[in-house]
Amino acid sequence: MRRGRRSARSGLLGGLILVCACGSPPSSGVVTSASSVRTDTPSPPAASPSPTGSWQTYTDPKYGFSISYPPGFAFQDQGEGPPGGLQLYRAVDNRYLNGEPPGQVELGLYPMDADTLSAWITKHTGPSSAAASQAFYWETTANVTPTSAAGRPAISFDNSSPGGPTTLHATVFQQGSSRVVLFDWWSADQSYLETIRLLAQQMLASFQG
Amino acid sequence: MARRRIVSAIVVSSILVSAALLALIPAIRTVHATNPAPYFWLPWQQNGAHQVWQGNGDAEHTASQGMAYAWDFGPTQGGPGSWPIRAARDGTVSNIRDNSTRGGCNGQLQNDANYVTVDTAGGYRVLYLHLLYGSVSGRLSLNQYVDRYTTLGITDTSGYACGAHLHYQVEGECGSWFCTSVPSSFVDTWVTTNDQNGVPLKYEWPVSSNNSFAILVAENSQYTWVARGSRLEKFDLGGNGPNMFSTSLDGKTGPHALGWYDMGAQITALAANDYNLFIGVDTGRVIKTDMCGNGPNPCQFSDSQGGGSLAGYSYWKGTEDFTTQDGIASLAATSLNLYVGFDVGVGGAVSRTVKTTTCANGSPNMCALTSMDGTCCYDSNNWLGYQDWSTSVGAMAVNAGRAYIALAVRNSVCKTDIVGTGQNMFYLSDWPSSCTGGNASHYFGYQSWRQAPVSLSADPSLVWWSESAFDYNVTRVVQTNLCGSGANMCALIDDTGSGEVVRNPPYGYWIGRQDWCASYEGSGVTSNAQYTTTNQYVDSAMYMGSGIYRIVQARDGGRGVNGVNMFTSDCSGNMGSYVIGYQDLQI
Repeated sequence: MRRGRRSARSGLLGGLILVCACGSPPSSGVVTSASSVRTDTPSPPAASPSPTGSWQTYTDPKYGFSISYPPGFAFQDQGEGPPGGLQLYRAVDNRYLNGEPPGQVELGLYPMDADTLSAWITKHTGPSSAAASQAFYWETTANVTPTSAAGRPAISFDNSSPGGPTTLHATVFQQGSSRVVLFDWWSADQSYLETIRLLAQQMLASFQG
Repeated sequence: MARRRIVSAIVVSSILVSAALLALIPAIRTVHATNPAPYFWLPWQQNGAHQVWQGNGDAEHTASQGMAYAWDFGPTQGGPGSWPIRAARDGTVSNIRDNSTRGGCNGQLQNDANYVTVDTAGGYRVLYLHLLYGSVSGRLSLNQYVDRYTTLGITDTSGYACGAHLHYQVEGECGSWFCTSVPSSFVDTWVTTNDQNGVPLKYEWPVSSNNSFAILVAENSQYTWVARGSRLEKFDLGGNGPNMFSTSLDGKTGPHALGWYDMGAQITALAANDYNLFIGVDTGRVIKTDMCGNGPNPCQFSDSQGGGSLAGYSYWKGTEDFTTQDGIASLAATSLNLYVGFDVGVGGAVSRTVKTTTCANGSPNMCALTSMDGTCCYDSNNWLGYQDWSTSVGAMAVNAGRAYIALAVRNSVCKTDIVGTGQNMFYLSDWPSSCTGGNASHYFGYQSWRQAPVSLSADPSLVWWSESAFDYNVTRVVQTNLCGSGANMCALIDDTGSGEVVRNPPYGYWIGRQDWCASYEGSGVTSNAQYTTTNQYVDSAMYMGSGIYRIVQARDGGRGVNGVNMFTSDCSGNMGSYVIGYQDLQI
């Protein structure tokens, strides 16, 4: 795997970040780059939930989806994810590539191994101490709410586990009949929360595939 | 304990001084300013420095996450991301998970962290999180009592982790592996010197003073060697009664106190035959000397690592360095052979015992090993073989015909002959082995214990087993003959060595036991009986609390006086028919 290509531009949204409470010293980490196609996507500017003109688009030919992400951010393919997972990605401000970020946007692809999205969430809720074969991805859920995302039925919910970064604000929806997209964002820093929440909202709206 | 009281006084003083400065401290630091005891030791190798990536209240270490009083510790400066963690306090292993292979900087991996928890005195549970796959279960088992400084596992990126690190927090118990963190602090000298309230802060590089409670003893026909932490003491065979070795608690004064030295590394194993002393340290080095001289630095080492000799002296005989993250776990020596036990990795072979001659004199790489894992050699003059184990090895004893090797997790002692060479030199039937079977010509059997004995000693006809079983309130020395074969090879009536299974005629393996009213922290036992026929002694060392270690020396009376309390009816060892004397040390 090769190290990610960073965007040379630090965008307006990046400039809005006033406080970095993380700033962990760099470590070897596990950051890996997008190995798929990444193209610039000119778009109109921003107040709507659609990406702005300077956003880039990540396209994944293997799993047939694309998603836009803001300037100053990297979109990274992180491998197969938790047990049973297919692929894991994150979008993170370039400044936090080599440490622990104050927050980030995450996307995971999973097999649809339940009858409904609601059943899928329930099936994958359980203790971290269980056998890996049980594929529990979080210990607790809250605020489970039907919604729509990327133009299809979805469920939004919060989830968390001991040792996790903080509460993850998740949305799940199906990609075809065989896959589930688990999209989430989180922030461990109150001053970063609104920034990452808005970015996540725009990214989710840009999902295609 | 005296040391804790001193540190407490320093910390309390720091609190008072810092109170006046509190208004100048940013809000997040108020967590630190109100942070009281309990006290723990930094959870890594002595003298090592690991950076605080996140401290109390930093980033996701929030009250809502139950982690307000947690620390994330990164690697050493320029060091590997994965490093061994040591118990911050002694206690009982209460949770282990190390079957996860997943981890990284993504919250969707939050349920995939490996961890171990240790329940300590005062109702505290210590959580060590983000450990390497398979790095705990080969060393520890649930409900095992571990001494402070015991290696618990190896750090990694399992679960949500943006780089390999240790997430450490002290918790109140809640019935789960993860409970809300509670205030805690560290008593390590660097922390108490540099941090108010004993709470290291983000970006600092605190240095560990953590070390082992265990006291090591080795005795031959003339001398008694004692080690604890980095301190090595040399005595003769001692006098009688109290203060039999030294008139001072530091072991430096008196006619029987011959020398002392502070090494620059933790001494983790000690063995002596009648000609040589072998010192194992936590850097993975084995140092060989003769019986040395007297006074400070009696072996006239040229440096604190035992790497050579001062000019004009010839006590130092050589070194051999082994690749291990966990130091030399055990040493045993006969007049012909040296056995070195150490951890080699995780998964597969967890640990290894290497057999050599007593090796050459006058050089580093004294055993001419080509690789520091002990698998072979430049020539076969010194290297003889090795045995891989599926768990950590601990204590080891070898006499002229038998080897006894304590295996952690399995909580058993493996018995074989010692004639083998090459890979699988003990002819065991599995690899890496847990000693459940082997070639009938070489393999004898195993003896299960409540806890793997922390120290073993053997002469041509007897074996002494130092057993501490916390949950059974047992600290004792058990004496047997060389025992038989198969499972429960010593026919013990229980797994703490209380007696022998009743049979007519008797098995006759179990000879006696001596129960001590000491604490359960690491203790040692040695006998010089294979080196002399005139002054045959058994020295049993134990931790009495308050920083005091006691060595009780008894005549090898168990040969004739079988049964319970074979040395004395006084569990402190102050007196008794077979007690020659005792020595208290604070080193």
